[in-house]
Amino acid sequence: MCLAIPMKVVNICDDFCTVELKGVKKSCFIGFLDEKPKEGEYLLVHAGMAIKIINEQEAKDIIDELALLIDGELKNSG
Amino acid sequence: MDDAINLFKNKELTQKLFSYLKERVKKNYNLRIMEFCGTHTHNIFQYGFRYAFLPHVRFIAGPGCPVCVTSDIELALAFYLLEKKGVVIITYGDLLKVPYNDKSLATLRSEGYQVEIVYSAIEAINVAKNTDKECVFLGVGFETTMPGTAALIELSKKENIKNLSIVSFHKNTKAIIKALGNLGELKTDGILLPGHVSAVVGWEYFSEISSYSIPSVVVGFEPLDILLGLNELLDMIEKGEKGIKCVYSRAVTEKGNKKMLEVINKLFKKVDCHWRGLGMVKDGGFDLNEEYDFYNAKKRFSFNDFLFEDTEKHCICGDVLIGKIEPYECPSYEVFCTPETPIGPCMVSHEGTCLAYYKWSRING
Repeated sequence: MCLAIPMKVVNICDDFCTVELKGVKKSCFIGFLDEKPKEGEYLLVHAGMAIKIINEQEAKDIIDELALLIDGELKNSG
Repeated sequence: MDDAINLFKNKELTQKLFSYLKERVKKNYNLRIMEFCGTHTHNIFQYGFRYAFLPHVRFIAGPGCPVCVTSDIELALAFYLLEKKGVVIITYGDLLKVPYNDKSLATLRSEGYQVEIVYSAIEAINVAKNTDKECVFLGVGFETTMPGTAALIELSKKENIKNLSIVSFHKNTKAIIKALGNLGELKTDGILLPGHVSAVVGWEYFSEISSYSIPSVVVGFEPLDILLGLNELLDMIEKGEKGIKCVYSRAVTEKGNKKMLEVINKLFKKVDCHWRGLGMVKDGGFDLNEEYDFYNAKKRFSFNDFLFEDTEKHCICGDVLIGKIEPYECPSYEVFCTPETPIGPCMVSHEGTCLAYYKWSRING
């Protein structure tokens, strides 16, 4: 019950949208999101409810920080 | 965007961070790290992390399995509505096989009582539309599922559905952490906080944890997420920091989902409630506010002949839930209590600690 899944918005109709992941499509309620999503964005979907629009830039920033950490450690140990 | 999300499952990056952490933890660490969330427990096993950092870091499963902490009295109430009031029970699948008094919703369904499984709370509306019978949705879960229950009620109002009500078994994650902290039961050096509860409520929701002087990190569920969380906790422990950090920033903000918090506050109030194995927890649960009495099954139906027999004394899931013991220390584990013949919910729920140990530690030998 803790797990939400990132799914891509395929189309939007009022407070619902169709989301897709690896070919599986489901209906999803978006009425409680703070802003309306756009097609192509990823939503965090939990039991048929969208709880968050996934922030792509934050995802990239975390990966970039991790790469710096790992590269730094490899240099120090190498 | 596909790449940014999939990178958190990337094998090469995960392996590099894992190797780095394997060396890092050798620096005089002897830590207990509690993962609050049941899905984290399962994923830590699945990814091979559970025993990988021993003896320096031991992961301890916490009480974050909402099905596991659903108490016997709540199950008894659901069975009463089904057997004595003739309602259709609508539930998430997680609750189907949880036993109470030698019964479960699954066994009652096999006896002819009507139990409908839904993936989403909103689907309950279609169940109610297709019958003249009274329908009751079981609102199980932490703050993550409360917006779903709220949406169900709001849409029922909008569509004038008269034969549908809900019973709230929703639990308050902040209250249980406070309760454990106040009891001195948070015997841990750091906490991995639930990522998707936090996506709804914001990481600031858990800020009171700092009063227990335990560093905490909000963490996602991919392999890289969990390792990033462990790395962040090690940073905090080294620096003597006691607050909350978040490494799941692609999904979690400080303040959370404002609309969801508004609707939760509009429909629900905090109530004292019984957590399995932990007893009565102040503000431990949520019930509907009075203006939603029409949709509250506890107000719609009378419970004059409701009888309850406390069988929790036969199950020590509670000690597992707060990390006092590990499942293999329970005398029933694997002997009498298996996924096929569960005694308690920890062996039933897909987030249950005992099921995780049974599934993964047996595979790992």
